[in-house]
Amino acid sequence: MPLAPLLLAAGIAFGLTTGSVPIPLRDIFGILLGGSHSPYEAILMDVRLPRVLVGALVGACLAASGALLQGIMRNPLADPGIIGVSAGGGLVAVVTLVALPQFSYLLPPAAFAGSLVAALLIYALSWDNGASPVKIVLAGVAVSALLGAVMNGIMVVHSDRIQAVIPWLAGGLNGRSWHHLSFMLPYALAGLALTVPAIKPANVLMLGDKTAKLLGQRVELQRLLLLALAALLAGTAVSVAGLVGFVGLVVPHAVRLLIGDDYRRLMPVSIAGGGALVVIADTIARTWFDPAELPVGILLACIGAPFFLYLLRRRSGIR
Amino acid sequence: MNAHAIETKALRFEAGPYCRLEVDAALLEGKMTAIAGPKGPGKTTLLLLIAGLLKPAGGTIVVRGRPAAEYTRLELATELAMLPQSREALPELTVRELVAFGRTPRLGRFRQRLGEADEREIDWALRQMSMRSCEDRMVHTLSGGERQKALIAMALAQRTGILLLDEPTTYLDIAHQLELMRVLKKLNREAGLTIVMVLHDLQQAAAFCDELIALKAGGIAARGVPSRVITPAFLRDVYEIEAEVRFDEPYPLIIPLPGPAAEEEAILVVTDTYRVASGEGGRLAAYWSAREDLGTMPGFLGMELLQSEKKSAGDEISVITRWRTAEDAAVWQAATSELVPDAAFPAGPAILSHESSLKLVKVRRMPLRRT
Repeated sequence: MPLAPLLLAAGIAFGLTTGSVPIPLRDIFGILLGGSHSPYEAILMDVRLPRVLVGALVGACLAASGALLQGIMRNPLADPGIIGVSAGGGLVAVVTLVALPQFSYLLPPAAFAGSLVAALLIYALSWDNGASPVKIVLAGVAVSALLGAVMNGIMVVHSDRIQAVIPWLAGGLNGRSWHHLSFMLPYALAGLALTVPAIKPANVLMLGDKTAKLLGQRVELQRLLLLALAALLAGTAVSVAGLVGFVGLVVPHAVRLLIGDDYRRLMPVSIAGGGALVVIADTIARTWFDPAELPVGILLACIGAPFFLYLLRRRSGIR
Repeated sequence: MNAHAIETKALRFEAGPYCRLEVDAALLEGKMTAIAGPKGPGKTTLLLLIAGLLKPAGGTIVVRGRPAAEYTRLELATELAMLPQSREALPELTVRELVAFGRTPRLGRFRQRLGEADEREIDWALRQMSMRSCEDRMVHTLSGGERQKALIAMALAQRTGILLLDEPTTYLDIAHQLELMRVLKKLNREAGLTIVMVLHDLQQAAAFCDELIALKAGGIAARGVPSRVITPAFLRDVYEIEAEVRFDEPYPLIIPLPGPAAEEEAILVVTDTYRVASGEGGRLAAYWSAREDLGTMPGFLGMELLQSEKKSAGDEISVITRWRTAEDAAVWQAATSELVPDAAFPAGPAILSHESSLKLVKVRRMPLRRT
């Protein structure tokens, strides 16, 4: 567990130093601490640093969201997609980029709002004297399918303009700047800070609704608040990075396999791990295929899936 | 101290046509109460209602003198703990971490860090269930019985005055069942814990519990001290079984009686109706009563005589005989059609008419009941 912040720091250092122009670590400290006039200052401050910070926050938010959802849904397959965040954000992004391209500068807040509205819609639809995890998952699948159909419909009708959408749908950090960071920062920080009071309810909910109620917990209220928090975190990430899949599913799951289910450890390690993973993957995505760039979402799936399978198999050997 | 830990007043619950419950019960403070009854009506439901996990359709539940509806969930969790009957998967935790969750209601809303006092309570709960030695084991490696003990330890760590247990001994072998019952009895006696448990084993209920409440068809069928409640009549009424009960020891012996619950057979009934002159009926009846050879006829099952006297139309005698098979009955019918019982009338034949009828009758015999 103490390795997690180190991992994040190493990931950020890797992201800042590596690129088409390598920057020595010494110069980075010099620039960040001020004073030294390094030839790399423009690259670092205008391009690399905001991108790395956005990546770290995106990864942290997605992993925290996934960790919460897996607990409150009591389902290891839960990820931000299951509460409609991807579908809602995706639909709004497609509408913005394809049908109303003149408003494309509003993409982050629009996608953010779309994610949250979809999540709330799913929660409302699954409400029947309390919203059970199974009902939320079913409502999530149905609403996501519907929103996805509308999204695809728009893309088919406007097939001449989908060029602009594809990188967003694949999820990437290309060209993310201070502008994106300043948009997401308040939501990301608020969301990540709120994971601290979420730890205890998330832990108790793992025992199941009945037991949690017997331990004096107001299960329905807690689940609603935790879902809202998960939607906030995932929506924040989706708003600036597009549909970066996989992080929300795999990071908390992998962390679980390594250190167990207790959210007091799981949450911080997931946050750090998610941040590190996205920064490292994005760095690889923009350097290995130089001068071309791969959307980080694609790379994440390519390296994450085998690693995840490895963890699962290793684990089943122990059991 | 309040004499009643829990009272239910006109408590009503309905969930579809097959689940209705209506219970007025007082559960005694500091006692061990078993709730029993055949599969179906409302044992678990009653516990869930008391624990606030189900909402009643009507009536009130009073916990320690205060209506349960007035408690917040958190307050109720400091008065009452429950082991639900669940086979839900547990998260990856050590036994001690699981038991520590029992302290949840005693900590603040967001605090999870345990104080020294909390650790002591967890130690106590683990010791009660003899789980100290495996407190560092992961819960998913536990056997069914150990898991049950760990979950009970979690409920004990809540340090409530009331403990509800839903079939705590199910899935346990007899040794673990007895161990668990002994531990519960000890907790009840030494820590004054009020225990209410759904228990199917009447013998254990009698041996360990102070009170037995039997639910049937959504209501209380019987209640009282188990050794007095458990009788053959109780077993018949509540469980529809025939059994002997022996109370030589504190542990009752329930011996089911052999034989199917009911048997069915088909017999043939022949009714011969004779009309004779007024006043002659007695003589004819005496004649049939004296016919001892009937008993030796094949397939003969029995005979009844019905005699009615009518002033105007003469007397009527019905001879009802029962036969095992149709052949046996036919032999009898042939015989009676020939044989007019003139022997009964020395003064000459006095029979005015004779009719014979045959019926196939299905007989359902309920077993003999001892009271």
